[in-house]
Amino acid sequence: MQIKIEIAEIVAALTFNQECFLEILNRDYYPFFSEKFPRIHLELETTDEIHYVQPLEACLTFEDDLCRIREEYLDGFFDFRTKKGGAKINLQGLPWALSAFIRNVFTLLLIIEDDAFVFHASAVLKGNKVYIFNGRSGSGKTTISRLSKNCIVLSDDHAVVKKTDDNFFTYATPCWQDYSFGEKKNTAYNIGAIFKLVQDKEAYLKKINKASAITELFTIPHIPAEFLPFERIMDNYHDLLEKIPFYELHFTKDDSFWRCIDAVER
Amino acid sequence: MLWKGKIPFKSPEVAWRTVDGESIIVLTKESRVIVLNEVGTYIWELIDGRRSFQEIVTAVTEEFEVSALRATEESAAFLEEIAAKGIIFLKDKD
Repeated sequence: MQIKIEIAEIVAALTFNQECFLEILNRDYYPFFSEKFPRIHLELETTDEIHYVQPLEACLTFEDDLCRIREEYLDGFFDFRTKKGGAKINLQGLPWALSAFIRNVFTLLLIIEDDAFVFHASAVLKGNKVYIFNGRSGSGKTTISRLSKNCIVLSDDHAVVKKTDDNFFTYATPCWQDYSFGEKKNTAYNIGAIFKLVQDKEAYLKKINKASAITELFTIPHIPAEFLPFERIMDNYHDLLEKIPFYELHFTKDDSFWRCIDAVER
Repeated sequence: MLWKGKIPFKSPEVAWRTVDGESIIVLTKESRVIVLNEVGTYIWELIDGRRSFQEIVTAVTEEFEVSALRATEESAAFLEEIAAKGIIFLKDKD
């Protein structure tokens, strides 16, 4: 069996023999199914052998062009030269281990090959723009998402941002064990603004300078630091901040922060 | 003084960019990011593995119109701080 999925304009052909993968892909990845020519090929198989105990020393390790991806119930790899990868997944780890494999492969490709960004952020669609709320664990990303009742929450943990034709767009991602709400479309969305979250006693926006904003954007998930092209990433962050406004968003635990955002947008 | 007769040089394990007059330094092994203020950025940009501590102090004295004593104390304090973070190292003058 083969199913092709497309996330942030990367098309992957997933090949497998077991029905369990088909069920999960049909359930969790349906909006991302694609008929386009695949850029990468991933083979999936089940095993009853793998059961790492978390935390592993490193879940991603590199040897030349080969990246090994290991998490609990998952032993996978991706070869950047051949654009082929594979994963052995223990049934007890499904669907989480499958998500972890796909998420890691796409994140690696987006950051290392496509100069894209994958932020630890919630991405909320309001009107025709997506607002990105950036922050580490505990900063309030999920709170913001749950307070955005009349919006579509694309994700409360990952925001993919990619440059196309000198403009930056964000993309929906499949539900990678995070919170999302509303109908996602597999399309490029315009970005309204990016925010650093600050829990406070009143809601207001504060503009911050580019250097501080770049510092705040360094919330790259999952990839070991030694494999990141930091200088290129900083240049790309700088380009991003030339196009997209960045604010510190002070918020309370109600939806009043949206009034601040709406006021700036007007 | 620790710095006298020494040449500071940048760690090969840092990446940096200067944006709007402030240097952003990433410690690549830890993914930790540090932003330097105006004076720190000025000193950072002078660190090239050739200029000695004393040459840096002289440049700071002229640029910020401060006394040699103050420039020495503040430059040493700044360099000690970033050396403690593993951002720079010291070598002896040839």
